[in-house]
Amino acid sequence: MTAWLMSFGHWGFIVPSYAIFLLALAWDAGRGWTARNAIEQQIRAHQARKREVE
Amino acid sequence: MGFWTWLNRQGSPPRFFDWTKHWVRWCWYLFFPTLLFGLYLALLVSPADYLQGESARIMHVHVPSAWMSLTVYFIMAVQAVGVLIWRLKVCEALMLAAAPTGAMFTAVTLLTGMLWGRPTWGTYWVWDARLTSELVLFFMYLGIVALAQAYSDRRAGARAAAVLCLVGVVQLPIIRYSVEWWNTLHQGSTIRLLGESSIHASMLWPLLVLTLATKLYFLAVWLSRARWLIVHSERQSAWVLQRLGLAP
Repeated sequence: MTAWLMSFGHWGFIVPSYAIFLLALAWDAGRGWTARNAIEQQIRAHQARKREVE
Repeated sequence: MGFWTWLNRQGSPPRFFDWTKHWVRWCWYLFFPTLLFGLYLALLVSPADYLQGESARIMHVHVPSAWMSLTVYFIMAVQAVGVLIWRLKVCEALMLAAAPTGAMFTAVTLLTGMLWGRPTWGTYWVWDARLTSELVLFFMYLGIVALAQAYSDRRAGARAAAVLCLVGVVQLPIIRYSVEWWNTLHQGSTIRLLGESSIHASMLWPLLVLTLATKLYFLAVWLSRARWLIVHSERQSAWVLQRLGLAP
């Protein structure tokens, strides 16, 4: 792995570093977005069930 | 109206939900151009270092992430005080919402540091004070998240996590001064708020722009996550149903 990265010179380490940085930001933001949608859907579903019962 | 009264009002869950909506939106609007401009400066404009060569560019993502790993923890500790003393729901949400992003920035710091270490030091990892204390910080973040989720009572979990968070504050000066207190392979500080920095402006600017980008990102994700944690904890309240258009 290291030998393969080193075959690209310093860029073999720079590109993965920036990729990790950007992917981590996207992953974290995506998790937040997914959680937000799950909470909203949960509340909507709960209210819909409540209305049906009533 | 006094400052504390004003602050107390802004901290009420419905008010917090409303005013942060605009903050989240504007932080996202500002984040994307700042990030793109920072990447442009870091990858295309900033020169290679005379000693480290091109790999010095890794610093432009490593250092802002490292600063964020400490900043986020400090913010969580401030919220933890609010959780334990005033038992504010907003503080609970803000503390818990910050933890995953803080853990993410700490992981990025460790990984990008390893990728910088290999071409520069000849090794991915050494157990020196700076690297080890940053790794401990990562475990602290994971511990706080795990502890908060271990309780069936969400509020009790937040209080336990707040105690752990405050205990872990001791870690911050250790990380900050580790390169001065111990003889480490990790280099000392090159940027100083007080005193002269030993970094050239051509390398400082990409760092500062990407630092601003990480702060905007954190604000957007943090406030957004906190808003919905509050909605979840207040899901039976009339104001939540009203905001979601579900009020009878």
